[in-house]
Amino acid sequence: MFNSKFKIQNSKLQAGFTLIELIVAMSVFIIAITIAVGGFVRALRTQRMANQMLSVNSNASLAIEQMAREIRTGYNFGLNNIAPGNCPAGQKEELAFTNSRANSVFYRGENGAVLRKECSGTDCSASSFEPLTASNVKLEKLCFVNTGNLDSGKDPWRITFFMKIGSANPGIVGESLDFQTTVAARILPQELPPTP
Amino acid sequence: MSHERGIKNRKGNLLIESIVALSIATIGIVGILGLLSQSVGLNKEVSQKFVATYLAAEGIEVVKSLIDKNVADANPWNEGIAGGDYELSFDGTALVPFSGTPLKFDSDTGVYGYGDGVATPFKRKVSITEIDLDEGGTDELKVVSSVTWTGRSGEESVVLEDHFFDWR
Repeated sequence: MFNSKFKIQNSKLQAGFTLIELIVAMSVFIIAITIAVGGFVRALRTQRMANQMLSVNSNASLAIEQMAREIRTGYNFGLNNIAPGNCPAGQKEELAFTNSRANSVFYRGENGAVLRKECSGTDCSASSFEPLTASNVKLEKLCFVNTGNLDSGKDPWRITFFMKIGSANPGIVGESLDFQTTVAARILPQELPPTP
Repeated sequence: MSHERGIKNRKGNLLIESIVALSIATIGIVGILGLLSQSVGLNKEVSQKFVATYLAAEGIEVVKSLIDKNVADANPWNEGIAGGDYELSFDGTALVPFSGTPLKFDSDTGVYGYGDGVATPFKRKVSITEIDLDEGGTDELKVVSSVTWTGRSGEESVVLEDHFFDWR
């Protein structure tokens, strides 16, 4: 019985049949692999994009929270223009104020990051700007306005900042986000602590 | 005889089996890809939520700033701040009744407000409730700032609440 089976296969079609089978099998295999690799590459790219977006979100919220908290407890706010003037009319590039530890603090957006400088008191000789955001996100804009404190310096400070932030990876197609928030300083100009 | 039929049948089965296997694999891969694109969509949703959160916080802070201005001007602390629903821009100096206008975004200046610009999906409503604790006039203001918008899965909102007192 077994003999007769092998005999039929061997004697009739084996040579031609395996060639066709090989070609068909290889082409099916190649098509399947191409589709699988394409899908895998796309999946990796999508995953990287999702990671980047997550990173933009967390960096932005960290920077905004830290700035908002320090502004809320700060006083003596001033706004400075920084060349080459990336902010639209009426907005300034740098915010300078005194924080709750009576140290001078500066915030500005430069080189794609939110930068902060804290001085010891008013002596800034030993301080330099440090980035608050990571290098895998790109700050496109950080501008400040003070819409309070207009009436001869008596009214409360009301600082609004505008932040546009996106991914630093040019290969990632993602929109950048526009944030805006306002912080009212809790210390009024008339309640200023005496200057030491 | 029966063996020859068996071989024949098995060959047909091989084709059907491979079709079934390939389609299962395809469905699986399509599922994974769908999951990933879903995750990007959800991330966009999260980004919107972040933006909305800070816009909602702005509403609260503007009310606080108005209260502080009353204090600085030596007016009654809640002058001009009655209960009701309002919309406030970041530079607002008085409460404007809520009209359901969405916030606009001006791409030239990067400002969210009610002036120039393109309408965003965000609507901000600042609701103020006056609370009288000792029947001697308002001594507490409950401020609820809510930003609502229509996201992928229907109506989304961020609601922040704060309480301000006649106290410095």
